Amino acid sequence: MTISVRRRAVLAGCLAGVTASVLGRAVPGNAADAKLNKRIPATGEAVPAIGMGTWITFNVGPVPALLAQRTDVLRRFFRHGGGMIDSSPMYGTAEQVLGHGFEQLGGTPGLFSASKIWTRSTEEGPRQLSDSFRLWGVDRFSLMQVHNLVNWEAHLPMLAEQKRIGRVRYLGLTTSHGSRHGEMAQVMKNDAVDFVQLTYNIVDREAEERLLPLAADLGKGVIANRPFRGGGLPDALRGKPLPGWAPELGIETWPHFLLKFIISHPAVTCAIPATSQVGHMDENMRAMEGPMPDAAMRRRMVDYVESL
Amino acid sequence: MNRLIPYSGEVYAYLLAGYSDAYIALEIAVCLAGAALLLTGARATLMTCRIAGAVLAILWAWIGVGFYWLTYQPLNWAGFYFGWAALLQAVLILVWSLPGGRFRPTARIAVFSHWMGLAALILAALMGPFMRLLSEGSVTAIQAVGVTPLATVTATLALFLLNTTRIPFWLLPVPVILLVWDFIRAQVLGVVQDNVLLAAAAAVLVFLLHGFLRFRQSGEARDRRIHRDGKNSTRN
Repeated sequence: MTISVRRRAVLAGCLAGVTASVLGRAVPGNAADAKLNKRIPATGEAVPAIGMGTWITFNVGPVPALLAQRTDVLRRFFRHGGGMIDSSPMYGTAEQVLGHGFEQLGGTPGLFSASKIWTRSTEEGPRQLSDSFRLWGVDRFSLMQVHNLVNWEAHLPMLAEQKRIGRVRYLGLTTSHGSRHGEMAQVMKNDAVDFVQLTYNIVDREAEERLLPLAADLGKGVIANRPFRGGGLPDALRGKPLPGWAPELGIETWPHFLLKFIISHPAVTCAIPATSQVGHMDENMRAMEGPMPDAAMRRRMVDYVESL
Repeated sequence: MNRLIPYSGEVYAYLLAGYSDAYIALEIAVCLAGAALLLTGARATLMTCRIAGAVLAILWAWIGVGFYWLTYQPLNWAGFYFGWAALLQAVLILVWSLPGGRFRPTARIAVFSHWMGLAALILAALMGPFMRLLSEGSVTAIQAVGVTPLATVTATLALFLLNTTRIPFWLLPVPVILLVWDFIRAQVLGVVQDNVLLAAAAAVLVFLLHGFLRFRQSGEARDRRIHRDGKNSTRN
């Protein structure tokens, strides 16, 4: 579970702590975890700023070779001190594959389990929740969200009751691809909601206009999905030069660049890139290390990507 | 389009490779039965035509239950609806083919559209064995006639084109819907061999629609002639 932390990374981590303190939401880290953690506004609990999504990547069915590969990805995630893993009943066999991986690993230190209810049927909601508990193999979910706001009117009270009896710690709402921001803005005012999940990356920045400021005002945690636009952004940027000032931020690759942009937003609690590759997992998790861009640098990052 | 396909090309290849291999005996039986049906052709009896129609319906039912519901649905919720669509097609084929033994394809008519149908049918039947040879032990998305949807849809449309009795229009929507879905999937996942089958199925579909159009036009022309003749006879 120990990760070697280079001296430069430690110093950079301290710098990140200072920057993060200015931003007001990050948790100053010590040398052992020179990675950016962020506080959940509702409780002040800290979570690593990079989590893991499971859309497509963990929907592998019962194929032994693929199950073993995904277990390796999970192992590496936890070895890097990863916390939040996000899934949904919509993602086919992803929850089942996660459960299989957890069983193989024999332990999930620091897991922040996040899944969703995704059904129009009010009656189906509790059944789906029960399935998620079984498939993940957990007694309690850290976060349970209403997927794409589907029938939130019915599911949110049901989940609030689950929170009251201690089976769920936080409640959330999700949207993606920039859709239904108007409705999200209304529903997130509900006191029961602790988290919102939305699409936010260096190209898709609609959330900056309304939802991110609102989340900050209301004290809601924010999970940024599609940080790589479904893999499209690193593909599009591959072969293009990183800016000359990238090393100042400890940025060595485009995924670092893209993830640092997201998690350095003061309102963002966690980004959840998905991957099926151990190497990509290493790369993603390293984005939590080193200094984080401030507002001026973030503007520069946007301008640079737009200029390409 | 990516939102409709919640799995990767690799996973799809594993799914089809495992599924096609598990039912290779069914694939061989279907190919042999299809060949026998075509060779018997127009000389087939009412009973054999009814049996052939029932077998085609059973294959569609199997695609609905065995593939879409039991195999594909865990990966993609949409499999539930495609399963129902395939079952509906099975019922429609039964309703159409059983009463008059109307499922009567033959390879013995030497017109271009029939050659096209025959080529598509052979392609659908040979795609499985060909991909197995080509894959050389690697995991490949293998389409097998009678076993997986795309090969079965292509073969069904080809058989419709080779049929000696008219195919009703209502037998086409389900195969067309499944083709559109497979087209989206093939593009998102980049499955080249599926594009070959899709192109063959699309060509067959064009001929089928052309046939419908011609039949309708000839029907209208006949109606006009009857109407005109009727008027003339009234004057006389």
